[in-house]
Parts: sequence; C-alpha cells; structure tokens
Amino acid sequence: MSERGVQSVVEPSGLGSLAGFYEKSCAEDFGLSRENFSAILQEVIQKYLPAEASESEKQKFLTDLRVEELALARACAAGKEPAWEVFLTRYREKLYDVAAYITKENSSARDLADSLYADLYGTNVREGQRVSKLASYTGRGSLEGWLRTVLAQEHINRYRKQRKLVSLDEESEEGTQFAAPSPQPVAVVDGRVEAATDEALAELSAEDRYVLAAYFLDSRTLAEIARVLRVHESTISRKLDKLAKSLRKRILAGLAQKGMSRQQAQEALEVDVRDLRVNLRSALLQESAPATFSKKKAEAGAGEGPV
Amino acid sequence: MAQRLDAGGVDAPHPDANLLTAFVENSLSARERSTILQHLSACGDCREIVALSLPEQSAPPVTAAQPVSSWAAWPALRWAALAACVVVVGAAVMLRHQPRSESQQPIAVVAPNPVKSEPQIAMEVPPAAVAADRDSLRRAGPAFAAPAKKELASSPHLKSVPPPATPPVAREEVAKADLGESKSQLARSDAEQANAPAEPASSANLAADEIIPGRAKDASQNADAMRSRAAAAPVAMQKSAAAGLVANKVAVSAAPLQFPRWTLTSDGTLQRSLDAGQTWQTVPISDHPGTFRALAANGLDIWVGGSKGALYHSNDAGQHWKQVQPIANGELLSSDIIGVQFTDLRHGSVTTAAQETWNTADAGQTWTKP
Repeated sequence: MSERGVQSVVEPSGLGSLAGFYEKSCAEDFGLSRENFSAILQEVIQKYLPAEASESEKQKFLTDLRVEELALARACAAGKEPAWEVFLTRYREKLYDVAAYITKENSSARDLADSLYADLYGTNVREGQRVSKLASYTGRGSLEGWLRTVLAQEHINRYRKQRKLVSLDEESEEGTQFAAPSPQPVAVVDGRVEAATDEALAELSAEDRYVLAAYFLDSRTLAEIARVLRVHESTISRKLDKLAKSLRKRILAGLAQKGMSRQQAQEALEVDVRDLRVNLRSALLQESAPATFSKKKAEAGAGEGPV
Repeated sequence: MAQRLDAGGVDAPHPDANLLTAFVENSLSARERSTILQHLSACGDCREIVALSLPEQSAPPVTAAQPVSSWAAWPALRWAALAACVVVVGAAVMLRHQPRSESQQPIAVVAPNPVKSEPQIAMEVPPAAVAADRDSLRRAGPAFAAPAKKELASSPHLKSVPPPATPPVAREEVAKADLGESKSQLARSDAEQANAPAEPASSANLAADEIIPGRAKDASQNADAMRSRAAAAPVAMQKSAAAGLVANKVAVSAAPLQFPRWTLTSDGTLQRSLDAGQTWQTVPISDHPGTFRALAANGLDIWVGGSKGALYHSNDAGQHWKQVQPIANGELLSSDIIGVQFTDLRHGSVTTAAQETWNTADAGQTWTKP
C-alpha cells in the first residue's frame, strides 16, 4: 500500500498539495475558502490515516475521497446559502423517499425526514454554536449514501426507544411462557454446546459470521446478503452451505472432545437449538438496550475536528 | 449468563455513518472493511442499518420492525450457528443417476417482488435440446478461469454424469449466465476480501459445479440474450439446486437452508414458496392443465398426483417435471390419485380414489400393487 521509494513531488502537507482538490471540489462555489477547505481535508486525513502516512498515501486517499460532496456538506454545515440551494435541489426529494422506504409508512416517514432536516440545518445549539450533523460527514462514502445511513440510524434509534417501552410488558408475558425451566440434563448439555459453538464460531472469519447472523438472526434473503457483500447470490448460498456443514462438524468434534458420545452430541444439537432460543429470548428481553445512536453521540462526533 | 452475554458482545463503538456508508459502497480499505465486518457480525442494529441504507431496488424491503437485540450478539450468533447445523440434518441426498427424459416445461414464476439485487437470470427458458458431450464441455472450458478447468479435469462429477442424461435446460442457462455474471463479481470480491481464503476455491467450485450442466455454447448465448429481471429468491434456489444436484456431495448447498414450501390450491394448482411462505408462485407442471390433489415433498424432491392417474415427479424443486406412469402387473394406474407419500427419495406410495395403494422402492421406476 505505501510507496515509500517514490519521490513525492508535492510539498508535504502544504497548501499546494491540496490545491487540486480545492478546484475539484467546487468548494469555492459553495462558499468555502481555500483555507477552510484545506483545514477540512486535513481533518479528514487525520481521522483516517495514521500520523506517519506518506504523502503519496495521503494523495491516494484524497483522490478517492468524495471531495465535492464533502465541500457541499461542510459548506451547508457552515450555513452557506449557495451550498444549501444545491443540497436541497439534489437531496430534498430523495430524503423523503428514503424515509418512506425505511419506515414503510408515510406518516412516520415525514416525521423522520423532518427530524433529520432539523439536524442537518443545525437547529441544535451547543455552547452557543449551531451544530449541524453535516459537519460530521467526511466524504468516505457518497453523501446520498450517508444520508440514507443517517436516516436508518435515526429510525432504528427511535424504534429502539419505542421497543424498550413495550419490552417490559412483553417480558412479563413471555416470562410466564418460559416459566418451565429447562430440564436438568439439557442445562448441563447447554454449557458444553455453548462452549463448543463459541469455539467453532471463533474460528470463522468476520465475514462468515456476518453472513450467519444476517441469514439466521435477521432473516435476510440470500439476495440481500449478497448485495451488502457485493458478491453473487450463489456465492452466499454456497457459503452458507459450507458454513453449515463445517460448523456442524466442528461443533460435534468439540463436543466429542468435551466427552460426549456421537449420539449424545447429535441429540444435544437437536434439542438445544430450541432451548437456547428460548433462553436467549428471555435473556435478550431482559437486557436493557441503551439508545444505540444517541443524539449526544452524534453531536460529539460532529463536534470533533480541528475546524 | 450475564457474563456470557458480555463475552463477545459489542465492545467496539458502532461505526459512524461515514464508515457504514463507505462499507456499503465498497470504499473502505481491506483492513477497514474487515473491522466493520467484525462489528457487523456481532451487532444486529448495525446490520439492520446497513440493510436499510442500501438503495432500494423497487422491492419491499425486509421489515425494519423486528430487529433482534444486538446487545447479546454473541449468544445470538451461537443460536444462528446451531440453527445452521440442525438444518443440515434433514439434507436430501441428491439423485445422481436418475434417468430423466427432458420435460421442457418452462417455469413461469409469478414473482410478486421484482428484482432485489443484481440483474437476474431469466427464469423462462425455451426448450432446447442440449447435447451433453465432452466436446461441448471442452468448448465451454476455455470460457472459465484456469483453476476451474483444473477442477473440471479432476472432478469426479464428470464421470458420474452419464452422457445421455440431459440436465434441465433452465439450469444450464442459468448456470452459464450466472457464471458470466458472477465471475467478475467473484473476482472483485476475491480481491477485496481479506479474510476469504476460501473464496478462490469456491469460485472454482462454482465454475466446476456449473460447468457440468452448462455445456452447449448456444445455451449460454441464449442465456445472455434472455437475461432479464426475475425474483431473486427463485434464482438462488435454481442455482443452488443446480450446484447441489450435480455436485458429488450431499445436496445441502442451499437447499435445506431454503427448502421451498409447497402447497396445492383449492383448484388443484401447485404453488411454491421460496421465502418460507411469505410469497407463493404457481408452478406449472405440464402442458395439460392438471388438477392435483396430492403432494409429497422431500427437500428438492417433489411428487404431485392428480386426476386420472396423473403423477409427476421433480427432483430439482419443481424446475423440471417428469410424468411417471405407474405400471404394476401390466396394469397402468389411471384412477384419480388422492394421496402421495414418500418417506425418502426412493420409497413411496400413491393412493387412488379406487382405494388402491401403489408402492415403489426405486423412486418411481417400478411399482407394485398389493
């Protein structure tokens, strides 16, 4: 990745090296000065690259960065009118559409989109300063994608809050359903099965675990998983197939190591899935899940940076 | 229990919107991507955010309303792992040497959801005679990457597929088109996945598995020409059915993970669901409109029986059907079939309105009538 042997022809971290990007970004049109914009670029570089990154690494990084969208977003965050005009023209409609897609019913879609707009405008005031969420955009991904993600985060956050209120009721209901504790032998088996499963899981790659979770926990379709990972659907189906088989093998082997006979192990796998699920659900419902993406966190993120 | 819940839970802070977006758009470095995947594998909320933030493709998305809590991610994942194992147990062993005449019935899958992902392969395939010979295989060979070819040469699959047996046309075309489509994607994903040593191997496998059915050159041309949008799930089913049927292994590929569900409507039409019952598609079986009243499904292996002894069998989840005409003691079964039961792929029985029970122990090749 680094090109240490290459002579860098640009001034190290001087304004000169960033000049090209200023032009490319049309930051001037949005109302940002060269200095403003250079500072923004520096901020982003510091955020993602190690301090000892070479000049060429920085150049490569900046080349891949969405500098135009970055300039637009940050100009908006700074309250520049020309930037807002462009932003609204480009994204206003889309935001409502995306909100509708995410919430699946228009009444809360409106609400969600409006709430995001408030955040983007910077109606939140911190220490006398307007803080816009757009100040946290760093140009790693497209601005449109970022808006989608932020909307999704906000939606999940709201949904979580709502669910927390409901979950207490659920819990008492569920509690009675699960009143019968798992029979003793199963409880003993549980421990070994859990351990063997954990061990098998630990041997998997992050991507494999992601696929497993997305398929079995989130009930995503193969197509959806494939889209996220940018591979073909059949790759996912084969991956799941291989995973299923190898997990089974490893868990059975692990159980054998822990002293179970083959038959016991197989039975344990059959029985335990249900019980585990039952135990899991009750455990999960009891967990109090703090708001995942609290406004505070988001603002903290937006407040960071030398600008 | 609390300790277990914490162990392996989400320690790292959630990636911010910038990183998640860059992940989705594939603008992260390999290391960053791997870090995100680590987090995603343990955090249901972030998984959901990623799913929601994907640009819609004119299809109703999975509900956002039912996220499983992410905070006890590790145990939850454990459940997922065990669920995967259990599913394997019910695997259907595929039939390798089942002689089948070509029933070139196009599958008209009426998919309520338009495409959700990359361009899909056409499901409707005109019948085309495909010569299954080594020459075609070799012709097809150069189209694929070298590792695939090697796989081909050494693959036992080749030997096990008898020349006269012609795999379903749809599968071939799907396979070929799929391969063309997927190669670039696989190549890309290969390059990008830091943690995927298995990937090159599996792409070779894909090539090998699907080369075998995909032999004729014109089939692939047809497939290219006919590539059009169809529902994602049926296609996945097809391809996994293709891979599974030909592969010299237990046909688990995706089959048990997504065993289709079957039903007969009140007017005797066969329907199939590939998404656990959320949506159903009609599956036409033959040219003659049939009224089917009896159904037996065993993984990918399906039997339907109807009026006047109409009995059809598919061993590829309904892509292709072969009519089976039970004959016992010189007599052909011709009364209405009211029941079909198969305990496994070979052993089954058909019950008729005339109160007869016909049995087979060889997947319908021969029958006895007690």
